[in-house]
Amino acid sequence: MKRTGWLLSALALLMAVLFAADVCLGSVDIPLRQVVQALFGSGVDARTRTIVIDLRLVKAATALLAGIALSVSGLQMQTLFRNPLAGPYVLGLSSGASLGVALLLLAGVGSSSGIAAAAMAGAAAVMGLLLIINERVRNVMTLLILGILFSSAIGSVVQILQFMSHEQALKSYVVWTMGSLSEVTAPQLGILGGCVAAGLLLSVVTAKPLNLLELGEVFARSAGVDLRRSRLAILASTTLLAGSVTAFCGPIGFIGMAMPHIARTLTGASDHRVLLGASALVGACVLIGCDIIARRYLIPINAVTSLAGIPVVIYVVIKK
Amino acid sequence: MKLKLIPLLIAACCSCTHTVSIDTLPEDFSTEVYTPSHATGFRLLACDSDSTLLALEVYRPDTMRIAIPRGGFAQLLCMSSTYVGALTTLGADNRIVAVSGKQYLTNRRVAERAAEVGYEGAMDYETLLAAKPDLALIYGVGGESALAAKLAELSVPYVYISDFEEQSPIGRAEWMVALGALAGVDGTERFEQIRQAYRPVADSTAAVMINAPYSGSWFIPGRDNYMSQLLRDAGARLTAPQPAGYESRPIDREQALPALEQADYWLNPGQAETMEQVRALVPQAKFGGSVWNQTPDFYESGASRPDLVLEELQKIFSSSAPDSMRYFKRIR
Repeated sequence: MKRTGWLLSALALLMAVLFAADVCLGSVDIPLRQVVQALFGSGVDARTRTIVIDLRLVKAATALLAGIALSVSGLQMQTLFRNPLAGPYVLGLSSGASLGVALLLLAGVGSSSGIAAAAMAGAAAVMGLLLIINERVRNVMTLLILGILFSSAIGSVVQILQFMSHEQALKSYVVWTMGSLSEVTAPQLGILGGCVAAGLLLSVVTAKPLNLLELGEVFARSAGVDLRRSRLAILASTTLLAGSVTAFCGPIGFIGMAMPHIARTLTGASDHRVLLGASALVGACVLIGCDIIARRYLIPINAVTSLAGIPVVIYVVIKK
Repeated sequence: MKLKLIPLLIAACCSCTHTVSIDTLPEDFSTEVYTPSHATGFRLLACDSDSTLLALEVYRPDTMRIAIPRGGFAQLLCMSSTYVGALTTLGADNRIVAVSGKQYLTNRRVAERAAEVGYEGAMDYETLLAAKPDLALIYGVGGESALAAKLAELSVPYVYISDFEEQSPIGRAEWMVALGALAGVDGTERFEQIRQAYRPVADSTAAVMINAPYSGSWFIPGRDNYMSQLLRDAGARLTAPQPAGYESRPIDREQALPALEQADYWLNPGQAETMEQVRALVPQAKFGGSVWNQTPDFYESGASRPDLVLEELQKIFSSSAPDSMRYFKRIR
């Protein structure tokens, strides 16, 4: 337990260092002293202050929140379905968001706030449907299979929409699927922060049921877990966490699937009170690191997260 | 078309102070000084209290009006290469301080001097701010650009330039008047020269196939599409069945193959650079004509020089074109 405490502290420290690096590094050279002055509000010109506060700080905070949210929701899905390759999007959350965005762009009303609202509405619609189904099915595997089927069906509809759309709308859609942390504005960050905070609170409540669910549904039920209510809380938490990130940043791959495995390996724990914290910290560290690299080379964030996450997934597949 | 613009721009430039501070509000402009003859997406207005002050009003994705400072905006960010092309045509490319995708630019002066701000989805907003643009020229595909909210947050003024939505080649070129006004240059005379130099032919006799198969489908531009109009004006008819309207629609290979075999010319076969690569696109087809691809400059200055594009197409269809031209090159 003492080792876990040290490890979590080290991860928190690493996260703080990476966060500071993300705020200090950028394509415009700003001396460290001026960055600090900009952060604490005196002695720098307006442009430097805008770059540090409105661009770097907002982006780093977005990366931090998105990393935490995706990683925690991925851990919840992996435990709920007892599947190491599950992630936040396994039940069709990103497909629902994609459908919302594709419909919006095809209708020709694609503002950034509109895209975020459409993505959130699409994700919430899919999760709402699954929550209704959750009330009627006993086996969690049925829920998983239905989620995958919905995801495939929605994916087909999106493909048809893409095929029918003109090239400019198609380009906008493809750009959205690449993910971006840089388009999030300060007011949007506030909404994202609220959603992530609410999702994390719910995830803390689900820690104990998740511990029991890891031992199987039969065991969890015999230990007094209300399966339907627990699933409801887990799905609601995932919708808030991954849904809000997808709405504002687009679908960001592999963080949710890969980071919980790093957290498990590092801590060696099976207690979700530890794993939720460790996953959140690892997810934040890795996504902030990916953001630094993506910004350095001006490449989409999804390309970097895939390269960071795929080796972990390969390791898990071979190990299992 | 009302050509009240020239004296106004001369007066504006004579009193040019190169300031970007605008004391007048967009609502103070109501006198129309330039109504496009072919373009449908903009007009220029003069200030009610000072007729030498201009404003640009654009209609897509939503109606917006931007007051132009005396002498025009000194530092421009261009999110599309067609804006660079139009400003180059007007000799105002020295006002461009930042661009998106400079590695694709044909104008080397701009490519060497301007800052690269990335592209939608991977924007480098720090470099954008450091370039200090007075105005960002952006496009909105299917609605507002995702950039707009961020630019507003960063207090960088922007205006939508929707030249790509014009399907008439002359209408698309006419946006140079709007871009010129933003840069403090009168583009009406240059546009008028280009409009007069654009000489369509009456008969459409050359049999042409266009584009290349993509995952089994072949996208064919609609009858009112920009490219369709250019080809028609150059004396060509597409051998493939064309959809109504301007949007491109896919046809099946079963329709595309006979259309290709009937054609004497094949334009824009995608990324193919050699005849071997072209043949590999449709190994079943027996195509014996000539194959031509667009050059990068087609996407840069081509929109503002439809007269030259048309001239090159007419040379291709009369079999008098050299292998390499400004906007088209032959694949051997």
